Amino acid sequence: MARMVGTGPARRAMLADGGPALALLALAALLPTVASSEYVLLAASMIVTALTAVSFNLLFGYTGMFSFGQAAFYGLGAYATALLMGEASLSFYLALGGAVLVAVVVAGASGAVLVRMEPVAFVMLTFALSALLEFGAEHTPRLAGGDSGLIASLPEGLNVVLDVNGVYYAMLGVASAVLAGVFVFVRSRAGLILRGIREDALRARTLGVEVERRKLGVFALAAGVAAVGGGLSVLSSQIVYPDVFDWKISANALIVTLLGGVGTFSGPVVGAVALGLIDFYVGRLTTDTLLVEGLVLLAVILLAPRGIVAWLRPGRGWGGVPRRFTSVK
Amino acid sequence: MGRSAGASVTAIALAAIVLASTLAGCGSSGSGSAQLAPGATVKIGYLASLTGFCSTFSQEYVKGAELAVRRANEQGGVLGHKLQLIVRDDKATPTVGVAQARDLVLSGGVKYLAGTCSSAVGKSVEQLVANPSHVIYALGVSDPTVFSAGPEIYAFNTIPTAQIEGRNAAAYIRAHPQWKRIAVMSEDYSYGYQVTAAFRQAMRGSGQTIISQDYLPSGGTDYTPYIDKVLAERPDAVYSTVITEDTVTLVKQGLPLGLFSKTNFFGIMDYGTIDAMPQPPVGVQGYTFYPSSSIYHTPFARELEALSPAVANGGAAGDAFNQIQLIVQGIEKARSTDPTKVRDALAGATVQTVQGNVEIHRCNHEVAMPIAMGTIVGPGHALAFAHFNPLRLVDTNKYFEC
Amino acid sequence: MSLATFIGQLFAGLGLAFVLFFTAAGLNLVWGVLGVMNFAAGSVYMLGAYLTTSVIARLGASALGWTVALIAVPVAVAALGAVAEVALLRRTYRVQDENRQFMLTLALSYLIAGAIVLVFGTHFRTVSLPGALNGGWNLLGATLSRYTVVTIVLGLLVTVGIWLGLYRTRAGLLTRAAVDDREMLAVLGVNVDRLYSAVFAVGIGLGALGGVLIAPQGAVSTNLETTALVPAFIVVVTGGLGNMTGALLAALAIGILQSFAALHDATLAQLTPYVVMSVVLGARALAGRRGWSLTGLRSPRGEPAAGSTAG
Repeated sequence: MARMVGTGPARRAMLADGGPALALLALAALLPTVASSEYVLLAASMIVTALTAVSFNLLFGYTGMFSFGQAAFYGLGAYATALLMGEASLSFYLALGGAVLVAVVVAGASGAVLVRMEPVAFVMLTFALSALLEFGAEHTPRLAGGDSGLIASLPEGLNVVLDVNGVYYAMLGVASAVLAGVFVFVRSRAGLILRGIREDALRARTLGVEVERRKLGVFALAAGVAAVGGGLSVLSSQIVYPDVFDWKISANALIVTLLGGVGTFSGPVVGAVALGLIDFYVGRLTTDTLLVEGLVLLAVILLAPRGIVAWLRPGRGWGGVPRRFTSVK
Repeated sequence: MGRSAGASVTAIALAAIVLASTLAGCGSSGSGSAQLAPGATVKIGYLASLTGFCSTFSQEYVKGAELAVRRANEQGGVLGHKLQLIVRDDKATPTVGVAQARDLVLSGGVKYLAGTCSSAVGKSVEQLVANPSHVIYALGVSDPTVFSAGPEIYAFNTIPTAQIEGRNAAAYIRAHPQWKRIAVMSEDYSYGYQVTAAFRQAMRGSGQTIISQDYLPSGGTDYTPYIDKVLAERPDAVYSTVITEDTVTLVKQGLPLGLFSKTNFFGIMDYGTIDAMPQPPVGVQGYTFYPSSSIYHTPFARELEALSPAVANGGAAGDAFNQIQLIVQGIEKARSTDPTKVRDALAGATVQTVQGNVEIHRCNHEVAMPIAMGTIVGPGHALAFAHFNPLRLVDTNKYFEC
Repeated sequence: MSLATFIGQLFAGLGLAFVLFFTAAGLNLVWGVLGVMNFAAGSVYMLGAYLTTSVIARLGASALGWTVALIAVPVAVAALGAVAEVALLRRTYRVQDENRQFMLTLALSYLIAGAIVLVFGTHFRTVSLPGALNGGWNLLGATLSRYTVVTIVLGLLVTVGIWLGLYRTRAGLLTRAAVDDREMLAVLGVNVDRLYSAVFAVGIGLGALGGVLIAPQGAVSTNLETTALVPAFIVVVTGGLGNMTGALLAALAIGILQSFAALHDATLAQLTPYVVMSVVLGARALAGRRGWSLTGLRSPRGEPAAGSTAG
C-alpha cells in the first residue's frame, strides 16, 4: 500500500481535502475581532454541528455505515460533561474527557450488536438507541434533571455571558484538536481500510480485514467525536436537556455532511457553516425551518450529491455522475 | 501548492472576506448604563414557543403581548419611553431559549424579557438573567424551583406554581371526605411530577387513600390501558394533571370507558383546551389558572376582548398580557428603567392584572393569582364556548408559605 | 386480575397493536418490494390525521363524513405517494442505492411536516366521531370503547386484505415476483415501474389510514410524527425486515404487553417496545436465524449478516 504523504500528488490531494476546513478554522479564529457576539454565538453553534457531522461522516462517508443515531452520543457527551462537572466537581476539560470515555464505552457495548446488523436495521436501531436514551434522560429526574434539564455549573472563566469570546476560543481550540486528529486518522492506513470496507466489504473480508472489529472501532471513534460536540454544546448553552438526543440532531448531521460533501474531510465543516448561515438568515423570515431544511436536503441529493466541496475543486461540477451513497456488495 | 487546493483556498478566502465585511457591518449596539436615556425605547424580548411541544398556544401568547405593548404605547408609553416588543422563537427547548435570551441581552441591549411556555426554558433563562445581566424576566411557568432562589432573583411568575396547584387540588379533594379512594393520573412530564408531589404531600393526614398513581405518556396517542386500569381500581375520585393536547386524548378516550361517569373526576381543564374539543366533558369538575377573558370581569379582561373571542378566552393571551403589564407597572412604580430598581419596586407590590389587583409575594416573586374552578358546561349557556358554570374563584394566598 | 380487567387490557392492547401495524405494514411493503426504508412514514401518518380533520370539518362528524375520510384520505395520500415515487424515487432504482432512497424519504418527511405547519398552523385540531361510535359496550363486566372495537375490526379486515392482495391476486403475484427478480419481470413484459409506483402508493396509503384512525382518539398535533415512527421501526425490525406476518405478530406482542405493563407502571409500559425487540433479537441471534419470512417478502439486498459468513 502506498504511503499517504510525501509524494507531490498525495500532498496536493491532502491540501485539497483539508484546505477548506483549514481556511474556515483560520477564519473562525479571526471572527471575534470583526463580528458582534451574535455572530460569535452563531459560529459556536456551527462548531458543535460540525463535530456531529464529522462523526457521522466517519461512519457514513468513510466506512459506509449509515448511522441515524449520532444524537445518542452527542447527548451522552453533553449529559456526562455536565454531570461530571456538577456531581464529581471535575474541571470542564477533565469532564469532557470523561464524557468521551462514557460515549466510547456505550458505543462499544451497543456497537458489538449493531455493527452486525444488516444496513437498514443499523439505520433503524441507531435511531431507536437515541430515542431510548432520550426516554432515559426524561425519566431520571434525580440524576439527569428529567424534563427540567440539567443546568451546568460552569466556572466564571467559561461563562458565556461573562466572556463570549473566551468560551468561543475554548470551543474552537478543542474542535480544532479533534479535527486534526480525525484528519490524521482518515489519511492513515486504518482510514484507508475503512474506505476499503465501504467500497466492498466482502472483498475486504476475503483480504483478511476483520470487518466487524474495524466497524466497531470506527463506531466508537465516531461516538467519541460526537461526544466532544455534545460536551462543547454545554459551554454555549449552559444547560443540558433531553432533546440533545432528538433525532433532528442526527438528521442535521446527515444534511450538513451531504451539503458539504460526503466522504471528504472538509465536507462536514463546510456544510455546518453553510447550513448554519442558511438557518440563520432564513430563520429571520420564517419559523418553518423544516420546510427550508427539507428543500436544502432534496436539492443536495438531486442536484449536488457531491456537495459544496466538490464544487470548490476545479474541473468538477455540482452534479455530474450521481454519487452512489451505497457501497457495492 | 497544487492547482486544485489553491483554487479551493482562494474560494474560501474570498468567501471569508465577503462574510467578514458583512458581519463587520452588524456590530452590537452596546449595553450602556442601567438607566435608559430619555426618549429611548424600552425593548422587551418575548420568548414565544412558536415551534416545539407547546407551540399550540404560541400565537395567542404573542397576540396578548402585542396587545399590551400597543395599549401602553397608545397611552404615551412608560415614563415617556415607547415600548418595543421583540419576539423570538425559543422552540420550547432550553438550549434555544437561552441562546435567544443571551442574544437579546448581549447583542440587542434588552433589559426586559418575558414569555415561554416551558418551565425548562424559564429555569435556564432565569439562571442566565439573574447574574450577571440583571434583566427583569416576567414569565408564567409552573416550576417552583425557578423562583426558589429567594427575593434577589429578577424573575416574576404570573401563574400559580405546581406547588400552589397541587395544594389547591388537595384542598378540593379534602373538602369531600366521603371520597376515600383517590386515583391520580398525572402528566409524565416534570410539571406532572411536581404537581403530584405537592398534591400528595398536602393530602397527608386526610384519611383519604391514594390507591393508584399513573404517569400518562406525554404526547401519547392511546391512554386506554391506563384508563381501564384506573377504573378497575374503583376509585371514589380521580385527580388529573394531564394537560393541553393530552387532556383532549384523555377526555376522548375516557368518555366511552366511563372515566367521567363511574367516578368523580377532577382535573386541570384550561379553557383553551376544552373550547377546542367538539365534545367537552360536560359535568366534570375542572380548574384553570389561565386568565381567560370570560372568567374575570376586570378592565384588563375587557381590553383582551379587542382580540378574537377564542384568543381572549384561551387564557394564553391574558397571561402574556399580564407579563408585559408587570414590566410596565414595575417601571412606573420604580420611576426608573433600571432593572434592579424595578425589581425592588415590584417585590411585595400589588399589581393590576387581568385577574384584578393581585399581590406579588416578596419572598419568591410569585403573583398570587386566583384559580378558577367549576363544573364544565357546553356552549350555549350564556357563552359561545364550553366554560365553568357555576364558577368559583379560589384565593391562592393561603397556599403560600411566606 | 379480574376477568373484566383482563378483557379491558386485552382490547386496549389490540387497539394499540393494529394502529402500530398499519404504519409498520406500510413500511414493510415498501421495504420488501422497493428496498426503500421509508422515513416519511411518520409524517404520512400525521398527514392522514390532519387531512381527516379537514374532511370532517367540511362534511361533519357524520357516518358520511367518516366513510369519506376513511376512503378518500388514504387514497389521496397514496396518490401523493405515487407522485413522489415517480418524481423522486424512480430514478434511484437502476443504481440500487438504498442510502439515497432513505435520504430522499427523509427530505420528504421534512417537506410534509413543514407543509403541515404552513397550512394547518401550530394549534392542535380535534375531530369527533359519529354519535353511534361514541360510548362503550359491555362484555363480561368490562367496558370496551366502541371505537377501539371498530379499530380492531378494521385492522383485521386490512390484514386479511393485505394477505389476499399478496396471495390471491395477479398484482400480488407480480409484487412477490418483483421482490425476487425485477429484471426478469421486466423481460416478461410487466410494467415494473408502474408496479413499483402502485406498491409505494399502497404502502403510503396504509400509513395514512393509521393516521385517519388515530385522529378522533386525541388531539391532532405535530407531535404525531415521532410518536408513530420509533414504535413502527421497532415493530418492523422485531418482526423481521419485510416480513408481514412477523410485523403483525410483533405489533400484537408489543401492543398487548404494553397494555398489561400499564397495570404495573407507566414507565415500564413505555419501555415495552424496546424490551420486546431486545428479547426477540437476542433469541434470534441465539437461534442463529435471521428472520423467517412467511410471506416471501424479504430483504432483497444487503451484505449477508456477519454471523452467517464470517465467524
